[in-house]
Amino acid sequence: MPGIEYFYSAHSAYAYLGSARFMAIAKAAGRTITHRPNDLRRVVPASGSTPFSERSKGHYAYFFRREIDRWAEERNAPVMVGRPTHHDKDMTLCNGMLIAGLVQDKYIDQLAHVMLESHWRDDSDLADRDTLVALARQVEMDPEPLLDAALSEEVQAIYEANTVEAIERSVFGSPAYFVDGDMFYGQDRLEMVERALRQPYAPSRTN
Amino acid sequence: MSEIEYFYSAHSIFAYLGSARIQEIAKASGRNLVHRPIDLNQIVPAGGAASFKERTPKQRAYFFRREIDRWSEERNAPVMVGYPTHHYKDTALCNGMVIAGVVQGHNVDQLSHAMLQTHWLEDTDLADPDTLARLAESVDLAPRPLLDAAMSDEIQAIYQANTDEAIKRSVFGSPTYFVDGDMFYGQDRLEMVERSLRQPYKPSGAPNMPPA
Repeated sequence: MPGIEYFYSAHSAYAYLGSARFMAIAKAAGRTITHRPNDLRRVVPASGSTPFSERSKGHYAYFFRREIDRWAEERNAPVMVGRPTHHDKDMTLCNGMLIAGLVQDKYIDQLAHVMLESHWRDDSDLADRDTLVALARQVEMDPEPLLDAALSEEVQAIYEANTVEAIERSVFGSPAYFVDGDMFYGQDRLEMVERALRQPYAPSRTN
Repeated sequence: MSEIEYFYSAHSIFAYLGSARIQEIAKASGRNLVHRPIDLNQIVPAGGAASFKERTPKQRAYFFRREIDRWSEERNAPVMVGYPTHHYKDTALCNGMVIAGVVQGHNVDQLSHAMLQTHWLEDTDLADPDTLARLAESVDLAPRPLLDAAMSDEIQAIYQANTDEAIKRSVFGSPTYFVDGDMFYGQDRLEMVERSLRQPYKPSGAPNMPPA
């Protein structure tokens, strides 16, 4: 059976909030997860969404605090108080490390999960090599081959290709899941992902 | 403690898709649904969102076709093929009629549901008084007193006050539900509304503003 495509970035709050649940859903359905880390700083503006800098305080209070807190409770995924200190750093290294894992045929579900979790729960710096070493060891992976490849041309070309494809396929942000081509945007759609794996939704008729 | 505030417009697709479910949730929890119809043409721009016409074709394809169809299946709320013919007409009359019902002491749950459902299933024109009269009769409400009051100063002032209050309280669109002050935007949050009626979510601290 084809994998469930998973477009996200390793520092994304909503990817974190859905991470454990998504992995449980994929496992229960007997499907693998096809990880497609991408560069959110390009995907979000390309989707036609209002840039973060132009959103109102009410918007931040609702979507980036109240929603995070309620979903953290709902998904049993604790978050730190405040915004992660290192959230605005460049995420090329951590996303590249995940892709390197794929290229090297590793199973990276757990590595992706601990990156997301430690960033949002423990304020970890995902741009810091030593932090990534510790995270890989925590899930019993050898960090060096992954980190050595993370910024290689081969791996970065995949990161770029994921980003371009996300834009082409109308991914609006992180996370987005594709079940046999049907896109589900947001971890709040995981119960629909679960349902689509049992019984696909009827196709839409064009207007 | 005995209410759920419900901000919406009588022509709103996602209000329709959640309409039967919110009424069922309210009933099961023993709370009244407080109908607060609002003018979406003022709300959506004030929320800082792009207007519908400014959104990309891909956004419209996802949010206004695929999402509608999947939720329609999920909520067992069928929708017509295509876009309602009269969707862009003025909604002051139908929303005013709902408010008039509230002011005149009626339960407007069924009237509101009939407006939403027929607009999205049968392509009804919610700006047409005859259509609205028929809808009121279909739920055993006398149409005349409601229609006579709908455009009155008193009722339209409430409509504007609902809209102003929605903007002040950061309502981003329709439907929005408040449970004891906690806002839930979108019918996709109805299961969380249900949960918060059993057990409120813990309070939050200050918003995560990005660096300036």
